[in-house]
Formats: sequence, C-alpha cells, structure tokens
Amino acid sequence: MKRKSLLLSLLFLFAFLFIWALATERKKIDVKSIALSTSQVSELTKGQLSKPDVLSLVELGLTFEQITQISDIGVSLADIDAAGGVKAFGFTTGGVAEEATETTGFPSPALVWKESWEQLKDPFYDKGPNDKGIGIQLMYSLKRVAVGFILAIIVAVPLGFIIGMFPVANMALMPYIQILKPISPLAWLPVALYIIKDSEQASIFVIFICSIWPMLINTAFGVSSVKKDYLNIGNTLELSKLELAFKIMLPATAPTIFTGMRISIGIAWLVIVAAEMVIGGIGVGYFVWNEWNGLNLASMIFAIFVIGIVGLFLDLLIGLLVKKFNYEEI
Amino acid sequence: MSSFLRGELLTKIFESEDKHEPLTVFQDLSFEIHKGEFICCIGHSGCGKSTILNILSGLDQATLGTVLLDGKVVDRPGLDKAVVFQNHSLLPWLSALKNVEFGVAAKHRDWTKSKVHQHSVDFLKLCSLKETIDRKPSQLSGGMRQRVGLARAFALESELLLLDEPFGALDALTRGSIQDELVNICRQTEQTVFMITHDVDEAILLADRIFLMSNGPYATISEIINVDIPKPRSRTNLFKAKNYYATRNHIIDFLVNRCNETREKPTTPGKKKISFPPEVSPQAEGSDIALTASSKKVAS
Repeated sequence: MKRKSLLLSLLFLFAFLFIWALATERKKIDVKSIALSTSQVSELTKGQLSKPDVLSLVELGLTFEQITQISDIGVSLADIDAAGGVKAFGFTTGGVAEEATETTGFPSPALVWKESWEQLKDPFYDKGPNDKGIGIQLMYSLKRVAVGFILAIIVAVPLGFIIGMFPVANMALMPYIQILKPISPLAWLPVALYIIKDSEQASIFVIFICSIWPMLINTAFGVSSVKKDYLNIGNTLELSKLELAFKIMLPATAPTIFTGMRISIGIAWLVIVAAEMVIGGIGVGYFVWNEWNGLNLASMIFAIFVIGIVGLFLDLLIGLLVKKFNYEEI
Repeated sequence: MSSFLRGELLTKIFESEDKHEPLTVFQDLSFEIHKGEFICCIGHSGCGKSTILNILSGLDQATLGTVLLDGKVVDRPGLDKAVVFQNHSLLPWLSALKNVEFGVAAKHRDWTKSKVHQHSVDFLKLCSLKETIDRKPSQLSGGMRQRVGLARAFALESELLLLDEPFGALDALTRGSIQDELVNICRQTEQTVFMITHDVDEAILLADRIFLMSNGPYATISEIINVDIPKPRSRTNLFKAKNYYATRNHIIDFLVNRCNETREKPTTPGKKKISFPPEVSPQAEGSDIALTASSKKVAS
C-alpha cells in the first residue's frame, strides 16, 4: 500500500516535470519562429540563402541582423558549411536563443533546478536590502509568524476556556466572533499600519488576527464538550477549580486545541506571504514579488516551492503535537 | 447499630422545558444504611436508581429531602464517597496506573510520589491487574477497565463506596470473577457499599440487604429484604444455601408482578416538606412500613 502510493506519487511528479519540460521546450521554438517575421524571411531570401537555410541559421541562434550580414556577403549555407560553420565568419551562436528563453519564456525545470541550487548553496548571503538569500527571507517570515502565532495562543486559549466554560460568555461574545472571523486578515493591514505605524509589527498583528479564530473556536468547542463524566471524576476527588481546569479540562481538550492550532498555522503561513507582498522590505512574500518585478521567474518559482515545503513542515510540527496529546475515547 | 448513611424523604422532580408537566421520578424515599453494610438496589429502568446514587454521591441534589452521611449533610461530591460509574469513567489520556494514582494523589496530598505509586500498584494487584497497568484505557478490555475503575475507588479507601451497575457491560464470565474479587476486597476493607444492579443473583451474592424499588414515576422503595445467607458467600455454594431460592423467587416475583402495584398516589411534595421537616423525623414513615413488611416476608 505504502509502496504503491509512493510509486504513484513519483509517477505524478515525473509526469508533471515532463509536461513542464515539454511545455517550456515548445516555447523556445516558438520564440525563434516569432523572432523572424515573414517579411524579414522574404527579405533574407533575396540573396543566396534559401528559406530552409534561413531557418536553420535561426536554429543555430543567429539574430536577424547577423543573418542579414551573411545575406549581404552573398554566401549560401553550403558555402558557410564548407568554410567551417558560422563561427568562421566571426558570429557567436546561441546567445539569442538562450536569452530569449530566460527573459521572455517560462523557465524550464532544469533552469529552475539550477537556480534553486545556486540559491541553496548560499542561502544566507546579504548583498544589500533588495538582494538577500532565501534563508534570511525565510527567517524573517518565520519570526513574524511565530510571534503573531504565540500571541494568538496566549489570547485564544484562555478566552476559549472562558467561552467554553460559561454559556453566558459564549452567548455574549459569539456574535462578535462570527462577524470578525470572516474578515480577510489583509483587510486589517491598513488599520494596523495606521495605528501601529510600523510595518514589522503590523504584519505580526495580521498573523495574530488570522491565527486567533480557529484556536478560539476550537478551544471553546473542546471545553464546552468535555464529557461530564470526566468532570465528575474531578469533583468526587475534591479538585479545586484550577486543578479541574489544568488536570481534567486541559488534557481532555488538548487534541481539539492543537487541531485548532494546526488550522491556524496553515492560515498564518498563507497570510504572511500576501502581507509581505503588500508591506515589502523583507520576507518570502516580498522575495517572490521582488523576483517577479525583476522577471527572475526561475528564482520566483524556486521561492514558491520553498513556501510550500516550509508550510508542510509547519503543519507536520503541529501535527506531531496533535498526535502526542491525542487520546482514544472509550 | 447506628445509621451511617441515611436518606430522608428524598424526592426528585425533573423540570422539563418542552413538556409542561414536571416529572417526579421518586417521592419520599427514606432509608438507613449501617456502617459496613452492603446494600444492593434493584428496580426496573426509569425508577431513579442512578439518580439516588448520584444524590448519595453529592453529584446531584434531591429536589426535597436530605442525605446524611455520618451525621453530615451531603450536598457536594467528595473524597469520603468513592463512586464507580456504569461506564467506569476512566480518564482516557492516562494509563491505568496513572488513573489510580490520580485519585490517590488527590486524596493524600502530602504523600510522596513513590508512596502514591506503591499504594496504587497494591490496589491494582488486588483487582488482579499487574502487567497491563501501563496501558491506556482504550487498549484494555471492558473487564479490565472496570477493574481499574474499581481499583481507583478502592484505593481511595473511602468510608462509602457507591457502585452504579459496575458489571452491567461485562460478559457473564468476567462478571463472575470480578464479583468474587469484590466480595474479597469488601471483606478486607469493611467498606459500606451501596450498589445498583439489575442482576438478582448478583444482589443475593453480595448484599446484606436488598432495596426493591417500584416503577417510576413516583417510585419508592417498596420492600427491603434481609438476605439471610451466612457470609462469606461464593458463587459456587450460593445455590446450596437454604434461603437462596426463597429469596430469589421473592425478588423475581416482585420485579415481574408487583413492582407496579405499590405506586403511590401523588401528593403535593411541597406541602409535605413543610409539615414533616426531615431534621425532625428521626425515622421516616415509609421506611418503617417497608421494614416491617420485609421482615414479615423473610420470616414466612
């Protein structure tokens, strides 16, 4: 079962890479045929060169101007071959074709791999404010998420306990929670920027506000649905209210709370990328936007993969906690 | 013998929101239980047996009437009353051992960790649990879970042990062996036990006296039967005892034929409380009648 699924996963990966490679390969040829318009081709074929000759020169990577020079000299392709190729005429080949794919075409898997390797070789380089390694960018993003997330835990878990324990608090606060919850965290960004006047803290606030809801709602739900039997055990043992909360309610609701955290961290990681794109400065979100602005598509795609992989690890991390504190109801 | 646990004119009324008529489950229950006695309570479903047990444990409150344990009013749950619920109520995130330790540590707050551990292990051993004590409840069989629940209750060494159909969910074989252990442990600890059961043989095996309850609503204790079979009893020799079949037939006859007859006509309970405050009447009227009735029947 496990082997089968692994094989299938790898199959999907290879299929994806193959299609990607194929798609970007085609783009290269397209670029070349577009490079010369029909009027240009007819102009070039006025001399010794035939139409297939022109196309094969384009295949070699020569520009319109270079081929015009060859045409002006008045040699045919056979003459060029006899003289030892286009290089004998002092033309550099390949330049056009490569440049064309790098700047205008979508990068091929190989190119992204090469770029990723370059980035991963030195993830912590720092060449000024707009050129820092992916490691530094990640550290900033993770720090913002961590601070916002921990603040959210500090607020959401105790508040969730109160809402879960006292139906009055539940009824009084639920309308506000229901209104605030569906607001996109990014909508808070201008408000936060205006009030706090610090982009770093504003992005932390956005993470805080988006992480708080799943944890709050899950904690409240978990606490309110703690089995009465468990509380009865505590009561017959004359536990104090505080002991009841920490020794019975907390372990009983831990799986639900951690599940809420798992949802929260996922949302936080989604939101930080968007927030950093808006705020700018530093962070993976800004990195992606910056690479887009510089049209470094390979680097941008690499960053997108990195975001996905880091998100996966964050989820696994909280998933481990869920598993550790999970118990089987009897 | 002085009474150790006593219920005085207990009435439980459940207010219902959708139905306009409030439901009186039982009315004017009075009984006395002596120290060291083993009481079994038998009745059909819905007569309020579990509610009585919850009131005795302090987890629930009677609408009218009081429960006195050793002269003190029972108004809250506490360590002097150990309870084993129908569904054993173990904390599923703790191992069997930790479940017992949890109770022991709550009772003896000044004990060291090793002392709590030793005490817990001793009582788990008493309930024939040794190898499996580090497992979580979900990894234990139904019988083992019930033993852990009993071990936790015994380890508290409370004066009063309340058992709510503790063997209800067990198969006959497991039930038998745990019953034997219960007999042994109760002989050693000399605890006062109030146990709810559906099983007539179980009641005869374990009880000194059996409370027979009429059907609800307006249920009451119709008869109290003295089980006149010498202790120690065992499952194997119980059937040879002289009074066994007489007692058994009497109970079954009650459960099949007579449990509906004794239903009292509803009176206004509010009035009654004012006219007979429980503190004033040393022995309740209903209980007196029941006692004489039962003694006659056992004698005949």
